[in-house]
Amino acid sequence: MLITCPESLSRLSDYQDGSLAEAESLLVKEHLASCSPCEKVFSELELIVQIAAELDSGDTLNFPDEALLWERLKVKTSGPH
Amino acid sequence: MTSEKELDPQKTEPSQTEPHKKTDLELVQESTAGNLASFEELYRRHMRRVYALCLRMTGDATEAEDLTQEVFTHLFRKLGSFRGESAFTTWLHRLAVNLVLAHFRKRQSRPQFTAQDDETPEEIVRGTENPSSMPVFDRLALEKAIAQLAPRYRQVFVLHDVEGFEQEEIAQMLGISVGTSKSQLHRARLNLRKLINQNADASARP
Repeated sequence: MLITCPESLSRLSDYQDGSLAEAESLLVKEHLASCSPCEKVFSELELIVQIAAELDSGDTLNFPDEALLWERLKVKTSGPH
Repeated sequence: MTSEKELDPQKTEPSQTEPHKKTDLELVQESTAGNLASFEELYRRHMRRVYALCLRMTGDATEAEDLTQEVFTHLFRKLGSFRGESAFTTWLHRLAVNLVLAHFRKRQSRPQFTAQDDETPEEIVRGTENPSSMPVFDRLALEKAIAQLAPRYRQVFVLHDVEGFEQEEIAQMLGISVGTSKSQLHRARLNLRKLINQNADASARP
């Protein structure tokens, strides 16, 4: 049995995360092997997931002033508990 | 291969004067006993990661700053309940996620429908026929696209793909089914792909 592009596209994340049943996973794999547009989408989603995992370091963000935030926090934590 | 340590003459011998770097658990114990300097050290170690989580979940710097304050204020009061059974970072992270989600519930900012929510999967993946449509992108481009995501997609994506929570945990935290969580994650990834394309197109325009 073959699957269509929309059927394949709707399963890409589950396929990527390894949460599809074996038979279903095989169908997606076969579809991707024969459909370059879907394969392209899949590789782009893979890239998004890979880069997302690298965001952990936080070096892409602007952080607030650490010392200023601590001063404000100190006031809050010095009150009665 | 020569290690960096071997190249530095000052580091050839382990320094006996170098102060012992306290573990998180030690700092927690000292903080619980009322040592504010130890709590400050905990704060300095973990503030950036907590802030990053709050910022990515809310998409708003001011809100993220306030939430970071709230997380550490709460942490200070709850420190006594940390027993060291799990890593402190895991425990703190869970605490932070719970507070952010409680914040959303409080201001009733549960997933609002946006234009992105109404798109069908076909619309989301439009442009598939052009294999070169998505340019190579970097972490900054992804950060920008995450901030543009609809809140409910952003939450699931950040929790799963950035923070590494399991689908079952996310479903439990958000009060949704695992199936819904998976479906929102998929839509989040497809929307991110689309946003990255749109942003790249916009910046390529003269």
